[in-house]
Amino acid sequence: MSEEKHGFRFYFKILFPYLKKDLALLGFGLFAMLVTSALQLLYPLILAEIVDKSIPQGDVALMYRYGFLFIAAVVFSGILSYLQLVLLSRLGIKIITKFKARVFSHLLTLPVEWFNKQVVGELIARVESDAERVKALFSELSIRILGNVFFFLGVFLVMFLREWKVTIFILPLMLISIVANYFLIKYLSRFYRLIREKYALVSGKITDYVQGMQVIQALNQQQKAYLDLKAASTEKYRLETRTSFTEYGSQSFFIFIFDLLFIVLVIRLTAPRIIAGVATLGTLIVFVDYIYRLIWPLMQISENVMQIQRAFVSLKRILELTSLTSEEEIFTGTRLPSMEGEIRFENVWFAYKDEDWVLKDVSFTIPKGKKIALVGPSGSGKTTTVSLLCGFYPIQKGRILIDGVPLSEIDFRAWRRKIGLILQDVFLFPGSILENVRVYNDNISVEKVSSAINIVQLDEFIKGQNLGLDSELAERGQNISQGEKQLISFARALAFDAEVIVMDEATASIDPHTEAKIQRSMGNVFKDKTAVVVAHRLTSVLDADEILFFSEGQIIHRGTHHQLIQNSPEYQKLVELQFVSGENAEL
Amino acid sequence: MRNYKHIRWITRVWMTQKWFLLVMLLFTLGSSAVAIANPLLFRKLIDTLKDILSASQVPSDAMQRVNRVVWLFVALGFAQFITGFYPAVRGWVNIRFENYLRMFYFKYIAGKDYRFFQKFRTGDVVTRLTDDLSDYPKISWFLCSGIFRAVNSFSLILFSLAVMFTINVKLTLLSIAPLPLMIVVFYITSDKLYKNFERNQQAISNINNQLEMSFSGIRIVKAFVSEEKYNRFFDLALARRFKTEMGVVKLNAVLHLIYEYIDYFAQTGVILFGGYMAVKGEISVGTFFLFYSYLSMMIYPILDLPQLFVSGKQAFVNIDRLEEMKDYPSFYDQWKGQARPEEFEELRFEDVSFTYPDKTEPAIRDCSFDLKAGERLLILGSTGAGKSTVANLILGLLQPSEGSILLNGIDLRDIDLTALRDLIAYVPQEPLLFSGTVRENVLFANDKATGEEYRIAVDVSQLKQEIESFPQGDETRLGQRGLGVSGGQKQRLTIARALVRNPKLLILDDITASLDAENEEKLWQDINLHFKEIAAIVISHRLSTLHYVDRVLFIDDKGHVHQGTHEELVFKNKDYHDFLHEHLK
Repeated sequence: MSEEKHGFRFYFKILFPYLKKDLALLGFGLFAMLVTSALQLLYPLILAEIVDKSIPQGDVALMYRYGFLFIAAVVFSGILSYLQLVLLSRLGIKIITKFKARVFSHLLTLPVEWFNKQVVGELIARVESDAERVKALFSELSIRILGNVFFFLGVFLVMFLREWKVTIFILPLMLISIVANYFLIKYLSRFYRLIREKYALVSGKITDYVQGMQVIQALNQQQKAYLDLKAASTEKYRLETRTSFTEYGSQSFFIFIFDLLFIVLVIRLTAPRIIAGVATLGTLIVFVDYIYRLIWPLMQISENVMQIQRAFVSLKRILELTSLTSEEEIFTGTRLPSMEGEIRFENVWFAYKDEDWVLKDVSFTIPKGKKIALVGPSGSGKTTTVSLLCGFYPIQKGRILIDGVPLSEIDFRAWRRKIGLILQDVFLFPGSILENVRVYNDNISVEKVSSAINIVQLDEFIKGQNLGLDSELAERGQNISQGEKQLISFARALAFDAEVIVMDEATASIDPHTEAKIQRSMGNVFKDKTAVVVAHRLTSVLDADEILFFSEGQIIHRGTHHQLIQNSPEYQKLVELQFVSGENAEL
Repeated sequence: MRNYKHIRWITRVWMTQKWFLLVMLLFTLGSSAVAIANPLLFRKLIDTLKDILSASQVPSDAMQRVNRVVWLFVALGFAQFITGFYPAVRGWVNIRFENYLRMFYFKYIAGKDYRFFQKFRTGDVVTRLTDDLSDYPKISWFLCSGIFRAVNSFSLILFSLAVMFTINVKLTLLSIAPLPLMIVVFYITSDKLYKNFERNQQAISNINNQLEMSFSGIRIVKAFVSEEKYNRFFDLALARRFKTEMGVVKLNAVLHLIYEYIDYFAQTGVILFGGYMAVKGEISVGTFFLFYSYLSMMIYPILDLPQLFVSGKQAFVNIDRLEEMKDYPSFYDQWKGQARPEEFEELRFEDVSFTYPDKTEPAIRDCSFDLKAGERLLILGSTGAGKSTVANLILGLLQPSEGSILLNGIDLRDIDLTALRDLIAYVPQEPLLFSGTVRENVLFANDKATGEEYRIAVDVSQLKQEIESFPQGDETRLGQRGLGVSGGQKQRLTIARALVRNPKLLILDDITASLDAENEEKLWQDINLHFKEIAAIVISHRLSTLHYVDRVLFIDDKGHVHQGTHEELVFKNKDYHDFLHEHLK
């Protein structure tokens, strides 16, 4: 209990700064809510007055006074509720937007290592949905909860004032049913989760089977797929039915309790007093009306409390994200790099986890202005080497030296600024071509981007777009070919004036025309630059000043193409295989 | 005319659940009756009390009279408890329909040919069989809840009006007079609101999509040191979202308001007119309270009633989308072959041409070749030359536009598809695994394989070591939420899946990506060892594959085919020579 209290204060401290500026708004919202709750209490009271005063007295004028009071109260309360809803929701969205911005910008500072462990596509969606849940704290929901609580208190105050003897019987019963309802919903929420899982399973299976239908047909397994899906679908059906009956059954039970127990109780307790002339008929009407109006808010309270709990869970999850170690805390080097001499790997060992060595004692030197090609079977450590060069991961043993200075002592951002990374799968950001080339970095001018585009010969493509550089690339770059994507990634490296080009060549084959274009552009991009290429094309190895042949995390051969083709049978085989050339490997 | 079609469809589906129709009808009317009985009892109670009070002295049986009404409340309470299950039953029937429809239509999909899968993307089909079926306001919901909610609303309104008219015609007319106006106002606003609402929701989900995509390029952001600058993207996206979301909030507030307050507005008529009549003594206090209750009870059903048409429209779209899939033509429906060959003797293509429906040029033309038992054939050709088309034709996944394919001298169309496919093991170009363990995937097409057969299939596919390195060996889960395996491993798993069926003809559609030269050599050695008699068709880009085959089928860029040994073709066929040359460059 005390821990939870502490928790609340802790969260309050975190959220308060977001609220500070809009305290007046919050104040107004709370005030409006109080007033509307009070007005809700008023309506049956007006009715009671009509029944108790106007009708027995036969006073039409009084009746109309009450009637118009009723209408005025409804209108006033309506306007207030609207204002309260809009203003407080605005506040909530504002807070959450700020909150999200903070979370996102923190995520960007996290190391690549962390991203490797996430399903990146889902990451944002998760942050989003968590943030949306947190929003419940600042939305109509929390207003409604407070409003309901006030209404509940108000109802009991009025009832108590009118007939305290009746009220003291009802109150404890009502509290018991609220608690019971809370536990019921908690119990049910487990089922909802299970149903969602089953639903995901069913859609997963349909996806699998529809995608693979032709394979399934070729394998004669249609019936099997059908039965398997049916089993999953039926399981979901059973679970959902059971949940539905539990849910509505218990709901029905609660309504039964309210309608029967409370109403009968109220009648049995009030009627004798009415007959005795102590209580009025209006009181009975007020009580009955209140009880009916309480049913839904009370049933909702449990649900609402759970939503608030979920909001705190989400908040906690998000806060966990924001407290993750950022790159600044991992890479603490401060020296500014120079790239006049060479990059040198000295006995580098690296493992992504524990002692699972991906690189074992790797050493090599890349002199400025030279081109190095990395080749070898997949999983031999080429891509890892390239990532280390970019300073994405700290190494476990050995040293990476840039002009003799260990990379760990160098400011990692300054070093990366010198690197132009071109990845195998060209990634396109949501947004225009311009932003894609400059990665949303507005320090890179439009002219710079244009000239980069020019060098990689994408002008024609740009001209073909209605908005030129500002044209949006469709989702996942569907309106752009593989080759054009590749060229955009070249333009990126150029626009950023990279000194060292690091490239992981694509394996996918591209049509000869684009291939030639890429070849020419590559020439332009690589001119006078130091380059490290994970090579998948023959031309890349032919051009290289040195080729490093990787196998199982070690460099087993090194030399030029001609040296290797003569001395290394592994390399010969690789060339024969990977570079699609049979007997003429000497070429 | 169009709507009749839908109504016929709905009737047909309901006829599969006849008993539920009756149950639903009883429940619905029962629940309406119970709902309107409650205010009637209150009227009785209030009037009883009023009577007692207005008597000059309290009658001796006063409490007994009250108790009699109380017993009625108790009885009604129990009835209410039972009708309380009405939504549960409704929900149950909804889910029944969902399950039924899903399986009914999936069965049809399993019998569709490639054209269907070309036309309907997977995501689309999945949506039609999941989202389109479940929850409000989709077809399953409409079939039961949608229809019966309307019946419920309608009966409730009808019952209440009947009671009200019986009691006092004048007051009834006066109380319901403002309702039509309210309904019109409500519909005009809510219709407008919903349209904006949907637009806004769409905008929000677009922005979310963008955000979701944005982290996939984290390496690029970091390599180009644009972390801080990339925030600009977030700020833009979030600002846009803030704006659209505020739009949603305002609309939401209005809708919320309407729902919250409409019953009070509905009651104003009763308070003004009913109050007057009660004051004048034209109606009893109980009647006044009855009208007051009924009006707040009726207003939501009235607003709900036209929902039938709205959700109906939506549901009809879902129906069309389901029927569209079912009615999409499939040539399998006409494939009535009877022959069931058990051995593979010879496959022969005779002047086969094939044109994809959306293309003008044939993918392959006048293709003739043959393949005898135990023979190995390599199909070569540039990307898009129609190599996979040949494989698909053999499998009966495509039907030749011209010419004929003969298996053991029998036209493919005269062969039972299942029997045909039992002879063949096919490894598709795009390796596709299903969710499940490694073992389940390999045994997918042959549950009855022995342990020995399983082991051989895994060994031959050069998977043994890798499977051992998986966290749970061959019980490791793959696919969604399972272990992510590399493309090469995937494809070798599909090779194992094909081999475990003990086929007579193996078709490998471009497996170069999954096997390096060393493994390819081992694969063929092991095939020769364990599947000696197997005939094979190999589609490949890699020239080293030439070592393992007897003959080559070369498809040139125009779709013409040339068959022969490698040596024959190199010397006799210029296109082939050029093709090789191009690839060797």
